[in-house]
Amino acid sequence: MIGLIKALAVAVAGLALGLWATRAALTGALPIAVDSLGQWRVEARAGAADADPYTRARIERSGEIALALGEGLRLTTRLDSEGRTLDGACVYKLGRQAPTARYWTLEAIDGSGFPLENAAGRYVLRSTELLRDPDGGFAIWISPSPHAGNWLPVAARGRFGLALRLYDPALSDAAVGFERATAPSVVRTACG
Amino acid sequence: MSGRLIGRALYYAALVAVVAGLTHLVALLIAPSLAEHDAYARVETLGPPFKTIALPQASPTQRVFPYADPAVAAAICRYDLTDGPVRARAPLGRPGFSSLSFHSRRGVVFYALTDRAANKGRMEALIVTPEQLRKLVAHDDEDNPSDDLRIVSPTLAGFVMTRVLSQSPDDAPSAAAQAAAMTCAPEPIAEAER
Repeated sequence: MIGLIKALAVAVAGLALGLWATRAALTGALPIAVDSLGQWRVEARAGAADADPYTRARIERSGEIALALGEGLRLTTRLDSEGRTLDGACVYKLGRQAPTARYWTLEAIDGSGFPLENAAGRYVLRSTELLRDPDGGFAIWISPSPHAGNWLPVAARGRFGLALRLYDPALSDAAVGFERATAPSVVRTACG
Repeated sequence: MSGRLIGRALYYAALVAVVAGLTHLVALLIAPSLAEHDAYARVETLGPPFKTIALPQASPTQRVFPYADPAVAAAICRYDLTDGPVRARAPLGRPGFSSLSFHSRRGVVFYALTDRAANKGRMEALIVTPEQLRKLVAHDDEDNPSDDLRIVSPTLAGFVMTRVLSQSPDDAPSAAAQAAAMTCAPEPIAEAER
């Protein structure tokens, strides 16, 4: 009898732990099989037939139509350069460069990957719209209230994420071949 | 005494870990087949096969496909190879990035073209099954080879998607018009031979 109870306890604990780990992996809480580039995460093989089972399951679960590697890459972050959660109560500065690509776009996203509601009704900033310094570098200000220069509006409260999409990126190989140093940093400049 | 206790605790921890590992493996592998709202299921609700459907620009209220770029105009066309190959065609004609990608029933992107690979001012391909490809190759004229790009679809059904990046908010309508001009249509083999 005691043996049976012990076996049941082991089975229940094991099942619970296994299901929790699967859920965490699929919601992205546990970044299994995700590459990182500074604070950015990237799933280079997201749409591909030879994607690993974690990536496949995540994509199918979310319903995303992923970019093929030949089209581009999506980099995502929900953290600033010091690892703190991005929050609408703060002002962030993103720059000064982006990985080499023919075009790129920067979008503020909510927890499910949809554009973030904001007062200005603007959801994305394109590389073709950018004001640049004479040396080609740039700064994008991410804040709920208007900012001089390149401004990406976000909601005044709550957490958010950033999606940086590279179209026709310069990849040195099929994997994420671009240099780590070119991923833009997201620096918190003010809060409250 | 305490050594025996630790030993037993480790024994149970190991058992739990084995059960957890097996559960995780099984759950991970069956998760995709349980996903009811994968990309293809969402595409199916939008309209019938061979109809070009322009996707609304991503916004906080247009919540169809997550992680869609609001700077990109997109259209999809569902195909079915039961009655023969399907020709997918997307015109170009404006500067900037655009692409044509081929998605299987299982949501895998099995091929993608960008405007850089365009031929004669458009992105075009013939989607075929392995069987249809064999037939087409058997009928090919050696002196006058077909210049079709033939792509084998891993599943009978699937969808084609075009993405057109706008250069500014004002450019969005032009990008949307190009995306909506994409087509996919069945092309029975007799006709494909000419």
